Amino acid sequence: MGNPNTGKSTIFNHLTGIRQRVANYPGITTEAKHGTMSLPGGSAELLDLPGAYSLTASSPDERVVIDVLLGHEGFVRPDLLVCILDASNLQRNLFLASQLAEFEIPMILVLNHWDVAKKQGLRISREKLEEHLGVPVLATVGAKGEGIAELRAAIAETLESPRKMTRISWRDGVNEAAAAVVSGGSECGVELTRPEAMRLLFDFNSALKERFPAERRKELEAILDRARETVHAAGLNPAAAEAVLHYGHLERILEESVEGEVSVAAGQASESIDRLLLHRVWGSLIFLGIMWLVFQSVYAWAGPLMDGIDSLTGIVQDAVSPLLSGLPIFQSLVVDGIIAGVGGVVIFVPQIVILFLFIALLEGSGYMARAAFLMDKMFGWCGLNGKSFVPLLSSYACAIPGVMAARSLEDGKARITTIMLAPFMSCSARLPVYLLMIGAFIEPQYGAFVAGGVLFAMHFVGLAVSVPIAWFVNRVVTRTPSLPFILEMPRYQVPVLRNLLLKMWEGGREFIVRAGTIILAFSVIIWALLYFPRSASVEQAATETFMQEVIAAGGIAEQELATRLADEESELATELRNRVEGAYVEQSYLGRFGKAVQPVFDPAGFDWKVTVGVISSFPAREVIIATLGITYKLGGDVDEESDSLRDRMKAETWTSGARAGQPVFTIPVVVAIMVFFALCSQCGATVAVIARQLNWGWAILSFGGMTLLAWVAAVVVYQLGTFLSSISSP
Amino acid sequence: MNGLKLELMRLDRLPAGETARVVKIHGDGDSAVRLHALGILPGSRIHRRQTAPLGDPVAYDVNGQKISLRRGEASLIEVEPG
Repeated sequence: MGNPNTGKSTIFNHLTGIRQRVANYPGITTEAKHGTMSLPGGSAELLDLPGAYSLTASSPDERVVIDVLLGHEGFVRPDLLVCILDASNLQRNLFLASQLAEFEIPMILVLNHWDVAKKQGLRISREKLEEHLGVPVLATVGAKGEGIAELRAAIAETLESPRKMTRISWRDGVNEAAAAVVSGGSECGVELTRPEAMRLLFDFNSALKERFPAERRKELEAILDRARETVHAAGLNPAAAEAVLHYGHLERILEESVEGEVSVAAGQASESIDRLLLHRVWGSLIFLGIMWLVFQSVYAWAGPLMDGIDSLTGIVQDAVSPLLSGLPIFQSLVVDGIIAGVGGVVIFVPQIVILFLFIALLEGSGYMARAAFLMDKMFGWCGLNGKSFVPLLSSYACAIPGVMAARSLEDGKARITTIMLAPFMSCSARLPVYLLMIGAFIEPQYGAFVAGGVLFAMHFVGLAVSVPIAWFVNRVVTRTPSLPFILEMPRYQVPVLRNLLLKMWEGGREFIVRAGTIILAFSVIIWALLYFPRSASVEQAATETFMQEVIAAGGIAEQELATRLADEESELATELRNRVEGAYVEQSYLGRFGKAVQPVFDPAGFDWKVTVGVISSFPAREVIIATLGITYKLGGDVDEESDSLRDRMKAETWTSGARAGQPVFTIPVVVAIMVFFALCSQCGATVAVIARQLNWGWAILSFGGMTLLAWVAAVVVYQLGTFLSSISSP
Repeated sequence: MNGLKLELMRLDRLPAGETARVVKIHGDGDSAVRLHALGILPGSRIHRRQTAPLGDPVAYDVNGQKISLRRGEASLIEVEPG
């Protein structure tokens, strides 16, 4: 345990190495890690709890810490607490330790950043501290790995012969009040320990109240009020009492144990850097530059790696395919379902790893806090805080790493809001759809300038729709208030390479294992829906029709046609294959579903082919291009630039119904399709990651809500667009 | 002469670059408890540093740390010059 920014993670990483996992506590998504460290004669499980300045628990996430300390809710009470302190700011750091002492768990104190303290001219006597506090006091420089061996030894030793930190001697008024809370709790049917009673007493609206049945809570409030009165009567401000008493006690100890000037400020060097980085003009510009860099790296630099994975997937597919040619169904399942599915998971890993690298760099250097500081005001309006900036920005490249990055937000409400907003940011997968539609329909009619403008505007549709919703939910619907946003800006440091690598590794691993399995499952399901039912009669019928068409068009005799078609590489054979593929898709469950569901999308102007494309792209947006290619009988290898696809779409007309004979792709339809894609939840991977980071309830809400929103928006756009164009062209 | 009422200043009014001494933190809500836990106690010296581009939040030096406080939190802290 320890304050944030004390190098706690570095030391944890030293002790556990790669044998660590992100701990996933049910219902809570605070970032905690657990790992194994080896000890002489065995091993120990080490739990890294999120950094905290105090044990105040107003939110469920903070309550987890108390539950762990007491061994409640299925946690095992720890045998030893290793408290990591920043040696250059001992007083504030020892506050947490002093609070922890109340829980009477054996402790070791680790003074990290020992080198910085020395440089600041502080001479800390560890012996004196050990004398006063009653527990081993070690010195480490986590970044350099100094003192780690001694720490291991001390841990082993203290487990053998435990030592507990000396508790402060509270004043009578406080002892009385705490006792009153304990007995009052007992009367309400809850057996409280003294440390719990103190948390209820000192914290405002402690989450520990949830231990009490709802009907007794009013009683509890009265008990707490009376207890606080007792504290007040003893001459103390109840909100300040805990801090005043701990800090007073610590000041006396530190006076005897530490020599040297401790300034009001955190550090000279950092302050000089901040003069530039927090400068109203220069600081903001540098910030924009850094954010652009982060965005570019995820958006563009991951590109070559992603292309590589794409090619590799293709190579594997081509390699495996002939091996299974005897079993067509199995072959398709493995090649088009499983390998494509795995490829579809792995392709996200470069983006995730690169983003996590940048985040680790920003956090490790201390700059992240400055970025949150600069951005905070804007985010406050939606109930978020400045820390949401990086997750949301990254979501513009891809929501998956963005959602995963939101894990580090301590404020539960801000975290949930950030994760729900992330999919609205126009991710890179939407771009092919925009490019296809704009390139085929808008640019020819309105020119490159308008086309560029529309492309730019599309990037903000999601933002424009989601931010007011977030604002509304925040103002009107919120039940839990956000935590006060008090942010520490730590000393600038050089990030530790080991930490960076471990963070990258952990991010990639967690994605593949947790979300990857779900994405793979989706891919196989969609494969199946597009493949089945597959009957030979479909192929036969399509082939016959094709041959008749070719013969009727003139020029080729039946015999010659058969020979030409036997040659698999010939143009005719390729065209026939595309035809057959298209016919299969039309007959598939997904195809039939698309046709059946088309009436739902009719008010948005989508015909059945567009509907099938939309539905098939629910697992992944870009799939629509390939699906359109197949349904338009051009084969699945088209992309958003393909002229053949564009021409086909321009020529497409309604074959039946009210609009029979009219073009399918009018401008209102085109815009409606783009708006639909801007707002719809069409990324199985994102839904999976949201489910893992929050729970399935939120994931389903995100999916359902966004899809509904997209449909409404598409309908509005189409109806309005058609109406406007009908009155403007007489 | 009328008794001059000394206007008690709150931290959010402290001019840039100035140092002040904390008198007390008002309120007993979550913000007050957390501010106290950070060592911002009666008698602590606090120094105002940079301001964010939109005027909020503001960075302060106090108790050996640099922290960012929004106007809401800063207005809870009563200070006196020095």
